[in-house]
Amino acid sequence: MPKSWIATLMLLFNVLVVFGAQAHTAKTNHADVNLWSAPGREYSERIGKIEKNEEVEVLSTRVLKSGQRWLKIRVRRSPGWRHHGYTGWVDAKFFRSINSPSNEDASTEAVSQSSCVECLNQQTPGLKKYSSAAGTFSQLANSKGIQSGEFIWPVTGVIKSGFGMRRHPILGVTKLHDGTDIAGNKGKAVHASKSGIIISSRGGCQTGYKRCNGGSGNMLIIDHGDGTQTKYLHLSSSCPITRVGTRVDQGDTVACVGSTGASTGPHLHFSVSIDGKYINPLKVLPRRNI
Amino acid sequence: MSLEILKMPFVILLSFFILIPQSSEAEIDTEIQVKIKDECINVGHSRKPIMKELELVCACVARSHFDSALKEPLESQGASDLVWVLKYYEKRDSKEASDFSKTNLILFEYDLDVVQSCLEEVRGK
Repeated sequence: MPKSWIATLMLLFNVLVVFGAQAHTAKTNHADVNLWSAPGREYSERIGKIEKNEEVEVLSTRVLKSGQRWLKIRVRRSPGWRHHGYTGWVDAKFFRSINSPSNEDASTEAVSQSSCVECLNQQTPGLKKYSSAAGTFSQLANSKGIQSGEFIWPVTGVIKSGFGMRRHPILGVTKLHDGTDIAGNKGKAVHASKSGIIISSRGGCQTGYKRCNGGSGNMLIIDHGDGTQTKYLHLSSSCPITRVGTRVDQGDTVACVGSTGASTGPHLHFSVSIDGKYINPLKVLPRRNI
Repeated sequence: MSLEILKMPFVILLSFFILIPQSSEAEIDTEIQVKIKDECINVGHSRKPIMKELELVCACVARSHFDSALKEPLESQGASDLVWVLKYYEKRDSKEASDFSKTNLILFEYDLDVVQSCLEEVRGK
């Protein structure tokens, strides 16, 4: 074999090693680990399976309130693995890191802390209580390069209830409302706020059954491929709900306003998340006059 | 063949009699609406400042939960929901109510929507 060939092969090998080392990859020894549309299982849907010893690329990490660690991964199975449909979430306990950047621990911790609004309230004493969601958004959005106006209103209507902490006026109990409730007549078209792919679609709920789909009723989640996702809850059962895997353009009708699940009347619960962390939708939606 | 057809009305009638007693097994206590309203008013009076429209809001809250329970596909589910709401409004301490709210997050969030809708209704928004 000529020396020039050997040199070329060695160079190629080095390039592969260097580029391979930059990606954070993980493997599982378990057979058939489920791939979910979102971290945790409250609003997520099983979208596939990871095979035993399959190597996956880790995109980000999220630690849930329960302490469970979830990984956002990209499956490298086929030549088309860059397709949005091949990203999803897995329970970290099934995976071991096989190739991680030197600062893995630090970066993971940073993502974990910023993934929870309530955690931020606790961990950052300088922040005013309950205002951290809006306060940290600009930092997060800027780092993602998200501009106000990239998203559109999924439905026109009066805002019934905004994003943030809600306090029970009689009992005083508080709870984070992770989206914006927009009032709308039953059957009114719901539009995709931004182009993307449907990663979760659940129907089958009729009005009146509060527990259906964990209170969310008929619902949709769109992954926009840049770390952002939008979620649409309480959708009507009388209109078709776009199926999982469908690619949608901004403005496409994906469902209709309804009152399924735990809902007191027809409205759309609209949520926006960046890397699994809910943000105030009004921060990314264009200003409007209703 | 003709004998089979003749049997059909009897089968339908028989299944009707079998199903009727089952559907009336779980019952919603009609008094519970009044109890929820009373507990809501009591807990509202124990907090400062007392809401001006407390009695109207509490009547609306109790009515909304009761109507919603009647719409549940299973009557037993509606009945247990109302019992949970009653227990929730029996809590006099915010911390106690907060802890109890975690036992049923769906109903807890639904109740927040109900109270908000009732406030809007009473205040004429």
